[in-house]
Amino acid sequence: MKTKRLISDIIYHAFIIGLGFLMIYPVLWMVFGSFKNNVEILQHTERLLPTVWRWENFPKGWAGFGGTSFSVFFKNSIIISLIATAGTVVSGTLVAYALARVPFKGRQLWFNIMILTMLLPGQVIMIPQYLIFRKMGLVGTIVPLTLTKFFGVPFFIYMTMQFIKGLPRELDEAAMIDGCSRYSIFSRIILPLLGPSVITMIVIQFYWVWDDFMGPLLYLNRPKTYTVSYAIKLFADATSTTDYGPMFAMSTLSLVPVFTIFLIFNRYLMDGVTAGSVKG
Amino acid sequence: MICHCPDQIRAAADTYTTRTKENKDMQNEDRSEQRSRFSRFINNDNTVGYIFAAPFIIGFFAFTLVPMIMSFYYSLTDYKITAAPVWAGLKNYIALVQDSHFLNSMLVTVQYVIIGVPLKLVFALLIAMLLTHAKKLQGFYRAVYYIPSLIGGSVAVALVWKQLFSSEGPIVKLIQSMGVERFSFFGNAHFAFLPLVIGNAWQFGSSMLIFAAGLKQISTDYYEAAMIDGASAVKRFFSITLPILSPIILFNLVMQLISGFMTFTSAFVITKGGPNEATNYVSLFIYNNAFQYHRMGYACAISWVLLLIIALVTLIIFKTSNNWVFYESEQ
Amino acid sequence: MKKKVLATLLSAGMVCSALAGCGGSAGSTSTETAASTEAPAAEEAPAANDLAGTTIRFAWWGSQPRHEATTKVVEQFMAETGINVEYEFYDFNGYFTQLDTLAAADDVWDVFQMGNNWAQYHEIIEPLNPYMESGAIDTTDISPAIVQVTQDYDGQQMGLSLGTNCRCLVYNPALFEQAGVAEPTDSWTWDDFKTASEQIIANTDAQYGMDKIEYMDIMTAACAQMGEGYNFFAMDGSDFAFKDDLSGITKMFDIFGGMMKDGSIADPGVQNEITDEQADYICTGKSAMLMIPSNKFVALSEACAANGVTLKLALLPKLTSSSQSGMLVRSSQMVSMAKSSKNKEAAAMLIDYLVNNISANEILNGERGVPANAKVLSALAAKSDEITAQMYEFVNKVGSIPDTKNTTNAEPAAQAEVKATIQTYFERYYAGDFSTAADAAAAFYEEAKQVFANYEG
Repeated sequence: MKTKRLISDIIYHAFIIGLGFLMIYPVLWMVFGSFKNNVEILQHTERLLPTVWRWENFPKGWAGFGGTSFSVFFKNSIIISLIATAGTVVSGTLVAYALARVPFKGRQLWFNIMILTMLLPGQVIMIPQYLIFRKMGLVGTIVPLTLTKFFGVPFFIYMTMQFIKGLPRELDEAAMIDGCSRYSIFSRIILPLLGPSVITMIVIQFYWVWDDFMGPLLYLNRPKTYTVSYAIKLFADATSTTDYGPMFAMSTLSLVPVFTIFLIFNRYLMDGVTAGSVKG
Repeated sequence: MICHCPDQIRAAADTYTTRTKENKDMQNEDRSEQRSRFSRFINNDNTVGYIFAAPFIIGFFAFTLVPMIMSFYYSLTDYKITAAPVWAGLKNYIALVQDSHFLNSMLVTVQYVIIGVPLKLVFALLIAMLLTHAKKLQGFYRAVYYIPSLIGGSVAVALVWKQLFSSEGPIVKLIQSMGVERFSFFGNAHFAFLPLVIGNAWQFGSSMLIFAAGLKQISTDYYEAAMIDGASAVKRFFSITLPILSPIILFNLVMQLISGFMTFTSAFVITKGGPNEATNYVSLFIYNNAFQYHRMGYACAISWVLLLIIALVTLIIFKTSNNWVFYESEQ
Repeated sequence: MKKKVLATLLSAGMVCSALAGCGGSAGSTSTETAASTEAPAAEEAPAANDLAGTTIRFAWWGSQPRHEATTKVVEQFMAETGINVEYEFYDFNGYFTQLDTLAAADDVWDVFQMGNNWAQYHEIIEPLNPYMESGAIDTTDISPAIVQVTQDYDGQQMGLSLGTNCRCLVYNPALFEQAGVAEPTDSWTWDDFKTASEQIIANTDAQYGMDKIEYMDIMTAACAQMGEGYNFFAMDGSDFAFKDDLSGITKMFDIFGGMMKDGSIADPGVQNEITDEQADYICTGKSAMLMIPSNKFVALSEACAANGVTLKLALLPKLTSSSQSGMLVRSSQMVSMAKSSKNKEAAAMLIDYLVNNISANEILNGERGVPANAKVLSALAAKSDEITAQMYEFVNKVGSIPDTKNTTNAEPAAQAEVKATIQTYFERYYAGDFSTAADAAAAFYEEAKQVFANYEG
């Protein structure tokens, strides 16, 4: 019995690790690409490890463009991502609570509108939206990239709604009978139970904002305000020569903050590690 | 810890009611009436709903509504961006139903959605489930499986992805060793979508995280009870996990459908819509019309047709979801 | 435990708001420092310049070396003139998306880099003619032919070239020698090109004669080679100009489509897999030839050198050994002024500086192509290495071919979509949708006419 258990454990771990290696191979290729030159990257794609470790790609990439280094881009990205993520969490939980739990007039209508706003491709909304922000004098600031998130991101509102709907209604009903207002139900009962949802929101949204380059492209127009995601694009150009090594080096470094956020919050999403699992 | 919650609330609520009762006795009637009118107003479900939903509603009017209306207006014009739009009535809509490129782009997009979305969701759910077993290493494994989702549509991914599926790459070599000659993914209109679909499924991290968070919300009591009853793992999955996870499945399904219909980046960086328009997905077609060909009016018309189609599909899913989505709160 | 999560979140929220504060102030301090570093420069500037202190915006696209060099030149310009330049730089796709957005807002940068797709942006470009006449922009050292390549058909100056290039055929002479095939000459034909490819594949380790087709280049060349008065696009960009005679186009479907089918040119899949010239099969000796714009010759040669491959430049093949060359010298990138600019005089000064200033161009180092200004060119040529000199010489040679004046430079607004259409029809021909090259050419023309019609009015 014990050996059988051991064998199935080994198979399980071997499978997970094997599949995991396949999954992560392209990422490793990029990370090791940070130490290669163009010839190694482009003409010997089958090689994973570099023959010579070219550490110089890192300082070369870090130097950035025309005197603005990646320390500036990283600072900009971190500020924008943190504010935008905070905005998403605050608005996401508030609005989701209304749409999932409060039977107000027009609830279905607003839910439908919210879904509808997700259905138009960004490519055709971009220009009109830019014109509005320009009218407001907000082009060139981080406001369009951050403040708007305090007005709710439909994806996360809907996600949180589904989590709230999964919470037993007896909880609010009991509180309601006891005279709790909807406000205190939200802050004392719903919000504390939304841990997994909020953490998911933080991890995903931080990355999405970090990775977004269309927003920074349109709204940030001085090199000193560019973000990492956008700065990385500046290495490559079809009409001139691209230096891939430094570009990969910066892409690799760009993974660090998002991965750190993931690591910090991941442990709260694991079973058995926290005592916080919901019991009905 | 949480099991005690209702008790705590009840206790807290009890003190709250007694306190208000005492207060009431001490205050004169006018003020209390005023206060209770205000309190009735502020605790009215409509008020509460609009207060909580206010951020979205304000944002909708401030930043979303006008661009949507403008894009609809553009769809009725000839708008080449560098000059003001010129009214064209329904011309764009008439043109698009006759445009074989548009019809093709819709067709390949639907194919992408039908194959790609279930693949990604099943994969994400499977991995999320699989990873709930490895207690100690779970965090590490999840990190490994999540990392690919962190590199998005970067140039590095496009390069390595092309290499993996290229005619010199390992996958084609494997297929050729099985006796298929001159096989190519990117050169063959029938297979070019596969690397994109697989690439999409490969970046399943956010769906996986959302599933994982959903799985975490399932009370272990259910499983314990089922174990005592002697239910098999398969039975536990179908009778406990799936029903309780169904709201999250619905969410991931709807969102992946929407993003599947709007798939853009991988086709843009890897295949550029080719070969022979086999991966010319509708979002790429919209982008090309809007920014490469400067036919913004036409691009907007396509977008509104796309909106209608996705809305219809979403509506059907919502309607049928009553039969398979189980909300604990509506038991 | 639950509380701890919440506490973390709350503190994260507080950090965020604190950072929001920081963000705002950090932003403003950086502007202040920027302003303070610029201020002394303004003081040093010659007092005679009454434009000192005005601010203009300038944008370009490119990769790291170009951003680096162009930024330096702009700083130098600011120091010398006291004009304040707010510069922005982008990647290629990002640049044009941003340009479109600014065009919609009627707020385009005062000075901006432009490609040969300027016809799409005709409405937002300020013609430079008055500034050239007044001498604000000096063109005395630029040959009239090169000034002309960035004019529209009515003679309106859409910009000035920052560098010129021409289409060219690069080849690996070692492979030709090994296969016993004569190297391309100035009277080489497309049929010679095909035969050479086949022989090289048969007699060497090379896999392809060529691995990537430049669809627009072969079409414009073949149509121009049909004779004087024939072109792919009309000189004024209003229509096609091969007079319904599909022989040139059919020939290209026949040669390139046919070679793709029999494998001497890579199939569409392989073509798509090549992301960068430096990853081209020619670099590893697996392919014999490639068509590139001449300004990429230097970088491509460097990538080849890593594998011991050296390259040579040749004219494009022709329909018959006596046809016109179908070649021309064109602008690779130019610099234009926005119609919406409020500081046109300052903008003109910057354009003049970028095109004519020798020390500026020593920094830019011909990265955008062969400098248009003859004095600048001779200053750079004196310092250039052998491969760069080879490239300069080639562009010079093409410039001296008399029939280049018959080749159109027009890239009408429909160009992007026509180009996509060409590629689609080649891919369809390869996939077997058409039995003959003539059928493919006819079907292509049918659709291309429709595309063109969509752009009228």
